[in-house]
Order: sequence, then C-alpha cells, then structure tokens
Amino acid sequence: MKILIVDDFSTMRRIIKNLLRDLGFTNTSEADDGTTALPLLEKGNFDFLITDWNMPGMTGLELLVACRASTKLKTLPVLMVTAEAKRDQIIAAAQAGVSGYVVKPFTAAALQDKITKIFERIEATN
Amino acid sequence: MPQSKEFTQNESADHAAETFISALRDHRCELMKNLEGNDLASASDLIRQIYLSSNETVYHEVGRLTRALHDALRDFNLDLGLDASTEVENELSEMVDARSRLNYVITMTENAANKTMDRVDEAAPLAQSIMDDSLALKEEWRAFVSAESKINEAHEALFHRVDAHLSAVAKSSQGVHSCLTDILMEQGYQDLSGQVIKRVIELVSDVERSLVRLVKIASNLEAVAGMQSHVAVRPEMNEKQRIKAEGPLVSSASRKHIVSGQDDVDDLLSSLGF
Repeated sequence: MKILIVDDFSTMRRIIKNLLRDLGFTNTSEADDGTTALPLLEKGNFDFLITDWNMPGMTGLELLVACRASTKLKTLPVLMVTAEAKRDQIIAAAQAGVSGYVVKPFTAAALQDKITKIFERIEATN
Repeated sequence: MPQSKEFTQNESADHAAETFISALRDHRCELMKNLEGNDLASASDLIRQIYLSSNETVYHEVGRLTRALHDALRDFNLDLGLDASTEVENELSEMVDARSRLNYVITMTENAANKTMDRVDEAAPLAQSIMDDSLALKEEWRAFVSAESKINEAHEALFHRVDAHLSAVAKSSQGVHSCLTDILMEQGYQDLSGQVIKRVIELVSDVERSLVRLVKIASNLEAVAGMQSHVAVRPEMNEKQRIKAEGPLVSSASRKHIVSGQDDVDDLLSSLGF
C-alpha cells in the first residue's frame, strides 16, 4: 500500500505519517502542495492520497479535481484532512469526488476510522 | 508616538471648519467686490481657494495620521530589536517587520513541534518493546511455574507478584504509548495556529499596501491644494513639513518607483513629507 501525504505544513505531514506507521502503513511519500503532488501521482503507483485543502499553489480541492479528470487517477481513493469546516466546502469536496473528509484538529481514532472505511468500500466494490 | 502628533477626527473637522470661516472672513470684501463687479471668474477662483484652504487641513491630517501609524509600526519593530538580549539580537535584527516576526513564530512552533515529535519517535518504540517483552516473559514465566511440580507457599506468593507485575508493566507501557500518540496529535496545533498566522501576515501586507496608497493619495491632494498652506500647523510639525516639502521624492521620477518593501515604504513616506 503506497500512500502520498500532501500538506504545506511539515508538522502535519509528520503526524499523519506517524499515525499511518502505527496502523501498519510504512510506504509513504510526501508533497507540500498540489503542484508537486500531481506529477508524483501521475508517475508513481500510489494506492491512496491523503491531502490538506488550504495550500499555496494548487489547493487540495484542485488536486482532487485534477485527479478525477485524469484517466490514471480517477479512481484513486482521496482522503481530505483539513481545517476547512464549512458545510459548503465539505459539499464541494464531496461533489468533486472525495472519498473521505477529516476536519482538523482530529484524533488518531478518527483518521483510522476513515481510512478503514475507505478501504472497506474499495474492497466491497472490487 | 508623541502627544503633539495626535489629532482627533473631531479636532480635525473643527479645525477645517474654523479655517474655512476664517478664510471666508478674510476674503469677504474681495469676494463681494468681485461679485458686485460681475467678475465671476475671479469670484469663482476665490471661492475655490477658500474651499481648498479648508480641505488642506484634512489632507494634512490624513498625512499626519498616516505618518503616525507608520511610525508606530516602525517603532514596534525598533523597540523589540533594542530590548532584545544580545543572544537573540542577531536573530531579531533579521526580523525587520511584522511579517518576519510572525514567520518567526511559525518557525519556532514548527521547531518545537518537531523536537517534541523526535522525542515521541524515540520513546514510542521503547514503550512498545517494554510491552512486547513483558507479555512474552509473562507467557514464559507461567509456563515455567506450571512445569514446576513442587511449589511452596512462599514461591506461590512470589509467582503471583511477578505475574501481576508483568501484566501491569504491559498495561502501563500500552498507556504510555497511548499518551505518546496523544502528544503526537497535539502537535497539530502548529499547523492550525500557523494557518491563522499566515492569514494575519496577509492582513499586515494588505494594511501596508493600503497605507502606501493612502500616503500617495494624500500627497497628490496636497499637490493639488498647494503646499503653501494658510493653515496654522503646530510648530514642530510645521518645521518638519517645511523641511520635507523640499524632499526629492515629490518629483515625478521617484513616483515611478514601485514600492516593494519596508525600506521603500520608509523612503517614500519620508520624502513625501509626512
């Protein structure tokens, strides 16, 4: 399971990386915004994307839209972990095809729960 | 900010009204003469002059307030720099404006969060191995004790104590691990506070840009009104303004400059005469 973590704050990338390691996912890569993340996603064989929303350059929502528009990435599971907590924003992310949405600050259990649910859904559709 | 520089909005408005009445009074006879003589062009010029003389006070006050605000922002930086201890003076001297100060906060919190997570990374495997070892040892210990055929009462008591201890150690190290995860999660404050600080940095930049625009507008208005003011300005400001009125940046060449930093802002303000 290869996972890409995208956040402009290195602190948050590290937190997510550590939590994933606790959950048994050790194959992770990092990017600091959508602009750097997209080429990595296009090139590498990532199975899962965890992204922040509010980032300079390309935002997480733009990255999500770009993924859904790409032949290669249109089915890539995308979990958004963000401080953007307005209803409209969550609806917009959902309409853009997000697989899960975690609002910061979050707990380890909440992240674990969302990740588990996403993987269960993937397995159910396969 | 010196008291004498402060001028409230009401004072300013009152002053403008007074100036207008005083100018009107001074030019009353001339104005009447122009009107009676049907010299409308001269009368119109005179009215315009009177009107402008009252507005000049407002322009001066806008400029003065702008200058005071800018000085306050600059002094904020200088004060902190001067008060700094020698150890951090070098660091502080690099932080010449509010934006770099806020970026400094982001860097400091980021460093603190990373150091905390370094310790978590060190401690978590220790807690894990203590837990794994004590669980494994407990199994071995139970197997060893049950294989022993002859156990007296004293040994029996010791067996229970060691067994309970190994269970407690496993439970405690699991508790430590869970605390470490909480500590890790709490470092998310750095991201959240950082996002807020970044917004404030944008705000400071916007305020600064607006300040520069305001100074430019005020200087243009002054140019229209003419610097040869009839307005009674307070003595120390009068002195200052007379000196600044000759400043090089009122020339058209220097106005072409694009303001890009704090130094440019300082230069611009100084040369504009506020």
